[in-house]
Amino acid sequence: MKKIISLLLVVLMAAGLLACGGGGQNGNIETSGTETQTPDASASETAAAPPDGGADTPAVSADAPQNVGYIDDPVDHFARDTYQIAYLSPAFMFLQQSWFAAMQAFEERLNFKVTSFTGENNSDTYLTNIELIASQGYDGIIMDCEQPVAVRAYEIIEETGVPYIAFVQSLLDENGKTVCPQVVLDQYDTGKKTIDWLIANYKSYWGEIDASTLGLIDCTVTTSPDLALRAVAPEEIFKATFPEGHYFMADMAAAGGVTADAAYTQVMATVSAHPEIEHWWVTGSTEFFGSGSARVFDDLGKVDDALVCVVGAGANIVDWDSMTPDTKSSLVACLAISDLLYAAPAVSGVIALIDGRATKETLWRDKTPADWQFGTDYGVWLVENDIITRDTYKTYFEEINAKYLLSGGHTD
Amino acid sequence: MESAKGFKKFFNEKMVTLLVLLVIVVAAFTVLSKNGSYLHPANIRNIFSLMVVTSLLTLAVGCLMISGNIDLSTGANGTLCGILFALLLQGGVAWPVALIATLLIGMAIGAFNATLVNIVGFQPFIATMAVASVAKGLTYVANNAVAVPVKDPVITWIGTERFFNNLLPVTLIIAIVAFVFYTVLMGATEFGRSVYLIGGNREAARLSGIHPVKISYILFINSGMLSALAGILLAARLKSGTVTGVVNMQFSGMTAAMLGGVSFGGGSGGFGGVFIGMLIINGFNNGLTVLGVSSYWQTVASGVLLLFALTVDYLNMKRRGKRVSKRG
Repeated sequence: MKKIISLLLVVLMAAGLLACGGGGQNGNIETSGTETQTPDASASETAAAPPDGGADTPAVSADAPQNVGYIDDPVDHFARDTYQIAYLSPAFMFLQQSWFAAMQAFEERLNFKVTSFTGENNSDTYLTNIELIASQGYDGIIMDCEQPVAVRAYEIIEETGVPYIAFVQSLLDENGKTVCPQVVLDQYDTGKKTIDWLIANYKSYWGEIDASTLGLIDCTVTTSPDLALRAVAPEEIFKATFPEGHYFMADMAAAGGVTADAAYTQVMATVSAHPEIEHWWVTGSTEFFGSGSARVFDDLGKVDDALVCVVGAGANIVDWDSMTPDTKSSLVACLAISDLLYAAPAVSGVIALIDGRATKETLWRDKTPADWQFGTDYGVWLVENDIITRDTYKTYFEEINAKYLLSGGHTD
Repeated sequence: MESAKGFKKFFNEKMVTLLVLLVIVVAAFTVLSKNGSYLHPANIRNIFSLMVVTSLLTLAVGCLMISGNIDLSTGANGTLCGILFALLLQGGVAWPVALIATLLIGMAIGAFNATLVNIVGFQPFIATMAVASVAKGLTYVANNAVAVPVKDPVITWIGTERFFNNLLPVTLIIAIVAFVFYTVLMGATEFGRSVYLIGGNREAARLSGIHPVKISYILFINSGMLSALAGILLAARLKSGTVTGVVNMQFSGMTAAMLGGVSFGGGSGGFGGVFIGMLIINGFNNGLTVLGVSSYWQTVASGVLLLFALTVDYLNMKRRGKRVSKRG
């Protein structure tokens, strides 16, 4: 019997290896494209290519260089080889998978192949993967890097010479200044939009209420500087607008992390401990906190007494999709950031850098806000976002999909 | 006839099983990677680099496992020590003082574990898990869960410098020295033999004059020290003491120890096999990454690899057991 099990395991392992060789889920550097970049070409060679290109420089239309690094960049992406781009993230969970899928959606249109790499929640693995990506001949990196290792990650990626942009999280130096072009959110502003929406709309649900009966639970993750920033405005604005109201911070850092269950536990504890509060608002740094919080009010039968509006939409949309029109929910709104809106500038920007049509000093400089808190030496692409509700979310995503995927595609 | 028996015996050895597995892994990924890029010198360095911190945790828990104990607080202890070390440096403490102080903190946590196990009488599994939770909480408290930059030039030099055309990191040299030291300590000294004896039969060891409690204290304190060193080295490599630290490497360390032949039951295993086991795990994971395999499938594949190694090991032990009973 044990020999059979042993044999089965050997077969499983062999099958696994063969499957890996077949390209795996994310594909191999050896792509099916006929114009695949030679993997031997070292990263430093790629980086050392002159800005004006060379043999592989893509043909640019007469109105260039406008829109360099934008999705509607007029360059012919099929006048060159297929670029191999690595997407490197600290973990590969729901959000990262969504962003990765959104990047893949542009592969045929922009003539590149993206492969995901993850640090598996291990900073050492994350940093080593930067060198691994370079050693395997990738042309560019879209880098989602956590702040605690940003300084070292910057040193390593600069040594490799592979063109890169920061994605989702700013890459900052020791002085807290940006060191490369980045596709990010204005984190403070996202939180501000959620509390502003609640203030502007609560009367349509409850009419006039006594502010002393109102409580705000502000869900945050203090271990993540970016996510923590999203919780700043709700606190400031709520305290200023409703001085008699009750403010509670729910920190998920040591309570289970960025999960709906962590939010459920923390929000349930807060609400249960304060029966004197009749009306609840919940704001949150991530969409998972919206799902978890809404479950609390469902379970307590307080759906009509709570309004939840958080940053992020993916998990909330899953919730809304599962509801019938008659289903009541305290999850009334969220700040939506389409994955396509993240992915489009990221892939377009890194392609412009690989092409040599932009440098990290010139890319998206016109997009950088003049008062950007982390410095204005490099381009900052602030991802557009909007508050959506249960009534408007389908239209919102249909419009984004139509704009980014159904128009302007390569038609050869 | 004799040479045939010798050949068979040679191939029944655990080390040979591991070496064959390593060769299979390397050969398979070399063939499957484009132009053999798996064996690119920079990639080989990547494989070894990732062993540095994990190897210290493996040595920490490996010694305890051989003695029949376990320490589930190595990750949390190392993480706490990493951030305390960074805070001490940030506070202007000279690096040698910070280093010694942090190692002492790690050792104190180890001694506390030993007290809970040997004096209070808690199961090692429960005691060290509780201590891990305390250490994890203290890590958050230490700097409000915010990472602490490490800027000391000596420490960052240790963490990031590489010799021989950028191929040999200083941290890897430290890990190799540690491996050699513990291989000799456990394999060629009276202390090492005592540890194996305790792991094999604690009562018999006691009756033969060995002091199991004393050895247990030494091993737990040693585990605390190595965990602290792992946290310090990671902080040096990252140039930052972080709240995630080495927590996620703890179980990789235990997996490597088991793959290398260290038994949970105690009394067996050696660090030569553990070293090869770590090479297999890191080489395997790296190969899957090189091939662009989803991290989810990497996790599945790593589990299958471990199951395969454990099964082969079990069958070999069973065969040897039968041979011995026949002779008897």
